[in-house]
Amino acid sequence: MRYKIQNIFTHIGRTRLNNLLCILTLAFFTLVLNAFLFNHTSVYKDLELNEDVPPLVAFLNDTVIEEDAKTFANQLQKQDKILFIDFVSKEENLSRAEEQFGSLAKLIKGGFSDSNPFPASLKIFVDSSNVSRKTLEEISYEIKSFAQIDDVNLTGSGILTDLFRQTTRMTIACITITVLLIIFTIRAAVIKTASSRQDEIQLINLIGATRGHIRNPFLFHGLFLGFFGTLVGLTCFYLLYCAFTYQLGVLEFLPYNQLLSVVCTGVFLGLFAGILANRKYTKTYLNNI
Amino acid sequence: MIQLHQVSFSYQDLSVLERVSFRLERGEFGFLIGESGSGKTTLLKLLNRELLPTAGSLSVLGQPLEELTSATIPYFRRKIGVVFQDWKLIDTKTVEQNLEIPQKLIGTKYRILRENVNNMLHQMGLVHRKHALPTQISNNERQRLVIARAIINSPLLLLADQPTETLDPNISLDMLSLFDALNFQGTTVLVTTSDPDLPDRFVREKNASPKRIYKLQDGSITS
Repeated sequence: MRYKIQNIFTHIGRTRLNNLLCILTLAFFTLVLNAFLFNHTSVYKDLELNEDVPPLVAFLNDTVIEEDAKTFANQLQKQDKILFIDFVSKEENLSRAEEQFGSLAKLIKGGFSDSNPFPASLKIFVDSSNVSRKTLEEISYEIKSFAQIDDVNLTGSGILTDLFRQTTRMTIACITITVLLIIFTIRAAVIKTASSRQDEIQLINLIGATRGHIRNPFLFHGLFLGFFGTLVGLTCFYLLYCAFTYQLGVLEFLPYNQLLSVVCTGVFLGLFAGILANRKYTKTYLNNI
Repeated sequence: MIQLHQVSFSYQDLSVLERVSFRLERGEFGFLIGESGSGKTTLLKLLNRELLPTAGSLSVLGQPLEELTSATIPYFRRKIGVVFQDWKLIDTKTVEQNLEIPQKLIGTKYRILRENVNNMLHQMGLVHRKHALPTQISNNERQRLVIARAIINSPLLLLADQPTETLDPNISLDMLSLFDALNFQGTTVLVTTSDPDLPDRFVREKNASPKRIYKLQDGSITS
């Protein structure tokens, strides 16, 4: 056991510059990955805040009476991609504005000599999971073309959903590429270190080293690089976040579970890359194991 | 102890050993004499289970080698001491550290390890060089270190691949005397050499008992 542990440290300490370069490379990959995760998480949080907001709000002309508006809404609802439509009367909009803006709403109302300036509206909910921003705009133009409609607003919700879809795709792509790069980098670094102490590995293999004696340094080296690579990457990312807090505004740092999963993934990938490196090295240099 | 029956070995199309058969009993001292390229090193590699024969069967220490698995090979090798022709010393470790490796591999307790290493350094006259790197010591000292490393775990079988090749004649005989002493303690010894007169010279000049001699020529044992 003593030798196994010593052997691991000797292995890791053998090529310090190689390790340092590997950790810096991994830190860079982790930094880029974290930037994507940060962006994704921020968009997701925004989306959560706007969960109940309909993607489209159509304002009805003042000339349209409530009965006609409801009939019109029912007709619109039959269109593809529209899930359902909520009719909101002028009065409801006024009371909501009063709730939201308090005295300011009264002021607005006062400016219109006690008549209600708020139009009736239709909250239009679409199937956000399948509708892109472009489609939303097309639906909006289509609805706007009806005589009953004064204007159509694209709320942030629909755009955010589309943005969230895009960032999810990009983040998944980034994670995939980063995972491959991390595995490749660690595997190369471990093999390089093993090659530099090839004479020792070959000797101990010939005089009775078990598979554990030979394999463990590879695994622990991979684990070490994975752990410190991601840790340094996260530290750099946090420092950058602190440096740019003002520019980022209210955006929060990554949640703890995400930080922990990044480090755990780094450790796991390091271990995996260590196994790959060991297999490659054993096949190339130690054909009898 | 060592039993080869019709063992053949070839590297792809190049035949190195052809139907080699011989026995070396427990506690015997044998010389394997052969010219350069006759297959001596290959034969020792077969005995250490670094290679597998292409035909025939061999058993070492009562163990048929074809039955060994990758998990049991290390434990088999721990019973054998090997003096490698190319030494296989770790240039980045000191003489003392090189000597510690076999002891550490078998999990010797630190106190006993220190004792064994110091004894071996004394026995081999390497105490004053224990902190030197293998690149900083002479060929004679290096050869002694390799032998010390091979015997520090008290192996049942010692395989020495041309251990006297780089040594001057007198020191060669001293080395063989050391092997003889080990053999007297019960270790089976097989030494390869390309010098056909070495066994006779050793017996004559060191008053050693006659040794078993095998001659390897063109991949076959001739006598």
